[in-house]
Amino acid sequence: MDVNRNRTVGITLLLLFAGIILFFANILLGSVPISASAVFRIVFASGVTNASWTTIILDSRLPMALTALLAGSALAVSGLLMQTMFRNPLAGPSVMGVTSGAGLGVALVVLLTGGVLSRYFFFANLSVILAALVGAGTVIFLLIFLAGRVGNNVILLIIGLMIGYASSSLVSILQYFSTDQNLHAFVIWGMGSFAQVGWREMYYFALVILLALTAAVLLIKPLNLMLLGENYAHNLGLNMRVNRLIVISVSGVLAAMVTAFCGPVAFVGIAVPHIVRNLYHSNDHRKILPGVILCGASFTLLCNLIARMPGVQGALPVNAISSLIGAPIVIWVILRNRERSDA
Amino acid sequence: MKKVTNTGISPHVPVLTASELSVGYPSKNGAVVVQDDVRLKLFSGELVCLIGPNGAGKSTLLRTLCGLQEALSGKIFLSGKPLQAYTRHQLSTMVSVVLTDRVVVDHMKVYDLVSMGRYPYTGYFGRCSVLDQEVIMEAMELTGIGALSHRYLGELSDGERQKVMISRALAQETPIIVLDEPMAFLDFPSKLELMQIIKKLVRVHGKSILLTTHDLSLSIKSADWIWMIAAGKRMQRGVPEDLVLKGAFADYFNKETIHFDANSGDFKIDFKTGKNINVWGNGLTAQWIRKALIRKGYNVVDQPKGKADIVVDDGPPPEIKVNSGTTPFSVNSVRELLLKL
Repeated sequence: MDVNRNRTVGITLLLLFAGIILFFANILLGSVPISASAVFRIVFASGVTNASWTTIILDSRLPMALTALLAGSALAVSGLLMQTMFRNPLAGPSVMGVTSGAGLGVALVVLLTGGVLSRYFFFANLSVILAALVGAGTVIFLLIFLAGRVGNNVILLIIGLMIGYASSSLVSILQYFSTDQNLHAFVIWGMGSFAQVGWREMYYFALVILLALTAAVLLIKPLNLMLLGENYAHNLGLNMRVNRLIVISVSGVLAAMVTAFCGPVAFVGIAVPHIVRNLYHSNDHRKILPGVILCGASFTLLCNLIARMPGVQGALPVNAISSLIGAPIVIWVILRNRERSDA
Repeated sequence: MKKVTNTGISPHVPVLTASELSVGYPSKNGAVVVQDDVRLKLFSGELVCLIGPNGAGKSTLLRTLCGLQEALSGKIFLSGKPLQAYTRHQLSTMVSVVLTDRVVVDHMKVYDLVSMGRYPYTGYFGRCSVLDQEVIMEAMELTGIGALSHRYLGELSDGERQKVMISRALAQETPIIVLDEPMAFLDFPSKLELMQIIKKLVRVHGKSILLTTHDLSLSIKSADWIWMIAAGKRMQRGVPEDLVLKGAFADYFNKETIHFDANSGDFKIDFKTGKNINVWGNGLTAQWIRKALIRKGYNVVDQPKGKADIVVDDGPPPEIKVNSGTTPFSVNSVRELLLKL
């Protein structure tokens, strides 16, 4: 027992440490080289050394690092909740159609009205965010409605997949009819970026995500019961219908917020829970939920760091980086688990 | 021991009763009734085996009785109180289940799974107290899986997994335990071992256990009550021996080529060649020679020594004489006997 506890504490501290290092690396490194001592003075002391450096650090790198941190935690927890509830290692916000729903909302706004709205930059940004929230929310409500009628989690997972394909197809049709300019704007959104959340949006973004993460922590006991499947959870006194609704809602809100503000960031939701379960050798949410929050943050901070490597003009698409890191991890986890169950 | 054994219910009081119970599934064109007008009583400290062919509705009835599925109509009482009057939490401390759902969670150890049984008793985050940990250890000792405590679920055999699931139900500390086909995938020794554990829980620890099974002969040997259901027939209930004597099993299960044998309490697979053979002898050897002859399709008739085709002296050493034909001869084994007939 004590050995396990030490391991849990040790890994949690390690993840925390990695998160802190990566957070500061995100502030230190970027296309404009700024010395560590200058960064320290800008962040902690008020002595202004260089006005443009101050702007870069405080208005660009700091909110971006915070966004990456929150987005990573949110997506990873969203994926964990879905994997636990559907008892399926391949569940995640993108699989359940939540990301595609958000994409459809954004496509409707950007591809159909982008030309008009782009003249008013702030409205364009706001409308994209609202569209993503409405799109993801529609999928979530559809899932909640179906979860009440369909008792079976596997069927619900398949329905989620189908919703995802259907909205992607609608997006393709919209793309076919849209102008080159609008198409370009949509493709940019689809690349994913943590740079779109300024201090003005940060207030709402952080508040909603922190509330949803708190809700996830309060769901630890129902989540553990759900591991046993619906019948055993029911027999142990869990109201499956109500708890399933709550878990879908929390998971959906987390994924919708991130997709709305940052665009699609794939594979965080699927890969991080697997990494954490393998690190802790456990499926107990009391251990792995804090781990998933920390590891998710580190994952996206690392992606953002790679996307903005010094020497790269502008930034690489975060969505591509997260997929390049996440996909091999998912494959590794599946192969590793298969080896173990074969042995 | 006290924590697990104390069911708080005095013996020979029905802990579970149902009357005019109708179970099945609601569908668009009215309800699909699987079993109708079921009446039953489960007593404290007794083992009931629910038997019946596939599709008779055993699992549906079981799920309805433990509140996993709603009854179409009728009444279910637990300790004299209607099932609907129980809160989810109260119900979770009255009935625990072991279902056919396969529970395999990555990285989950035996101890972790058994500890899930404590969830109705633990606090908001499900932390187990020292007392909870004692109950968990006891529940594992009762089924003899204490040594498996730190093994992963994926590494267990079917028999071990079933014992783990029963320990989980024991950790739930309910007076009633319901098991759906607990012996379905087990080899014969594991089956007997599991039945031994179940009987101990009933006899020594006062649990009321209801289980479904296809194994009629094991049910007859072990159950205090047998409930029999078949599609389109009324449920038959009784003490196993009474049901044998009433010929209830024969009515329920006989098919053209399969017959229930009231002497052995088991099924006979009928394959008759129509040939009669007369046998004399009453020892162990004679008994097994009769079995062998029946297996080969003979109609075995007992005859006095002088008229018998086969005369068996149980010895020692056993002697088998065959009187058929013109010259009588002796054989040394059942195989030799069957070859020469």
